[in-house]
Amino acid sequence: MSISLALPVVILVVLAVFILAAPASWTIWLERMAMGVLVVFLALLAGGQWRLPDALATWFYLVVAVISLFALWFSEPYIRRESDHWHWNGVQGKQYGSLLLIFIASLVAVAIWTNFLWLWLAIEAATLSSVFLVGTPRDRGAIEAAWKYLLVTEAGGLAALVGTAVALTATGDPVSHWNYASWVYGQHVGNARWILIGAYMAMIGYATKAGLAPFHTWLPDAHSEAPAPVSALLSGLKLAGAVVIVYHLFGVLTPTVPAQNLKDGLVILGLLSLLVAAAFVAFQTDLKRLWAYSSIEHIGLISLGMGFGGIALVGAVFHIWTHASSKTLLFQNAGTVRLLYHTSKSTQGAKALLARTPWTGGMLALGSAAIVGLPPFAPFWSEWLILVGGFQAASNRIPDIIAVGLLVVIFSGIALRIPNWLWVPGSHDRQEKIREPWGLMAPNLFLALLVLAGGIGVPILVHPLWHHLTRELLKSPI
Amino acid sequence: MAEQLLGRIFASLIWIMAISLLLVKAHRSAQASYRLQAVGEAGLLAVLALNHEPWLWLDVGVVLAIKELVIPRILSSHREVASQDYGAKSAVGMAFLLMVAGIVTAAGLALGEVPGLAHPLMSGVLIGAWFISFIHLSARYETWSLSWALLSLDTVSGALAVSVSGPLGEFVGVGIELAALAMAVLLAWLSRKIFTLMQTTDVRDVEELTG
Repeated sequence: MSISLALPVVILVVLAVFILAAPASWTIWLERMAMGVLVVFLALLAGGQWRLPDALATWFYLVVAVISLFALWFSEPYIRRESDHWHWNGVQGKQYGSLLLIFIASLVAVAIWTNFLWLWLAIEAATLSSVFLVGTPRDRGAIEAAWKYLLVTEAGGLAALVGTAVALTATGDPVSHWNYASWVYGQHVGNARWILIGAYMAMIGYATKAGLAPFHTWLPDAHSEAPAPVSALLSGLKLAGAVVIVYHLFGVLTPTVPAQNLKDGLVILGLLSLLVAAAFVAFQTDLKRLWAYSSIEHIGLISLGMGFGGIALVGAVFHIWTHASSKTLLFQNAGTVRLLYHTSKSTQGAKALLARTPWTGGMLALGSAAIVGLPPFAPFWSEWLILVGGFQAASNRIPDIIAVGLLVVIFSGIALRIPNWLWVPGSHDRQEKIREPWGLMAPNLFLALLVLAGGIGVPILVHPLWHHLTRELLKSPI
Repeated sequence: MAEQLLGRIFASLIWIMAISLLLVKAHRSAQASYRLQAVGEAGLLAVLALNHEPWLWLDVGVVLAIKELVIPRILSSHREVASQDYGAKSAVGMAFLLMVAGIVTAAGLALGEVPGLAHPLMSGVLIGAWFISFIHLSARYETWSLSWALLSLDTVSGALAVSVSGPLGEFVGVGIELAALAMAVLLAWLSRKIFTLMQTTDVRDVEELTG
């Protein structure tokens, strides 16, 4: 691995270690330095001074860096209030800050590293650091959620390790080639049976990391119990990171195994995830749990787009951004609701948000409209590309029609549920307005702008990268 | 020939201990089974090291040190788990679990026979042990047993990955094994944290896990 690919990860990990070693009052400044590191590497990337292996890595780094910046920005005021509420001592605050930076460093590694064993290590680091972050509140629910998250995703992680080793060994290539950037397509004559077995084992393993159904059981608990910025990073970046690794792995295995055999697996997992989301989303009374089930839906859509290939693949990669930005907005606002109302459950008082906390309620309304795929918000454009792309190949039309049907059910479920938080009035003694701190509002207002305009705006803003990315994806063997 | 036989014996030891970890009633018995499973893993690595991968000797030493001394001690350091837990709580009876273990072992052996593996029988036994560890994760209810299931899965996965990727070079094997070991230590430490924070040792008492 080149030094330039290791550098941002190493710097972030060093900052995480410093947080542990330095006095508690330094934590905020070290987190701000981490934000600076992400911005510097973004600037180097924009200036052509820092090159990443391919357009997808560049795109994914862009998404990871931007969403992490918003999460770190929001985390500062959020955790200050949450730590007051839970009476944290200085050490707990430092542990949270350090783990958050390790989590972000591992997400950066997932975006830019190319060797499959290093990628496995990166997603494992993301999992283990986020297990601790999920358990941060240290109440019963959070500890149980962290335990369940650990059990399910580590079983998956070990399946991914064995599957990757089996599939890549079966290609017969030396280990120096276990790298998607240096892979030479069409040069491999391996054992197709074992490649397929290994590929499916790896896919199932990474599917647990991605929260794809039927391996999603950890996700609703972990997302709803974690601190809001962590839920946003988990949902927007870590889930997508695991699917991107599967895409890279399938990409290098296709010369010896027919692409359709691999893509079918992604389509099945995608449809199952939509089915699970459709079945459960309408019954949620906790706002964060509602968005957790919505995350299962959207990671299913990304998997479906990658399985369909072609234009749908472009849509899936675009959806990584549109989903991450919308879901970060939603989870962070759900966190604000939890802080201001002391619950995020509509049955326990989180009601009439538009009247009592108009900014938070307004941003939740905007985010909800976006996440169900209404135009002109960002997710509409990527979902449109995935679904239209599905219709292009005759073999994908039936799964595509099923997906459209399930999306309508999910849309109806969220549309039925969301008024319970936004405008259904609470009991009479709970009608007064609540002051909304600007520290919590500011990052979300900027995010709301991105959700509003990011669907068309971002591809225009990064036009050369988007053009290059689209060309690369349309040539992809997957 | 002798090396091949030894490889199969050590793979079988890993497999038997995976079954033992699935069935045992006490935390202390699980600890002993895990230590024996680690002996099987170290033995398998030693056979591979003799077989033209000398760097794997490094792993043999580290596996023995970490899995015999460090991990069992981490998991036993919590008083309640170390001394009070006794029972085999499962969705089904232990005899049924044993039958399922037999069936998945047969499936593992059949998979090992698919052409392309360097050591079909040894790999088949390890694949069988791998399936058993997965079943363990969903069959038992005690949190201490689930921790050992995860650690058993880690051991079997490490051994399986090293044995199938062996022909690619010893450094891959060393790397995979060291990564699996580091993960085992982290898992043990996390499990201990869970033991100290959770009052119950039966996941059925935990609403989030059953809901």
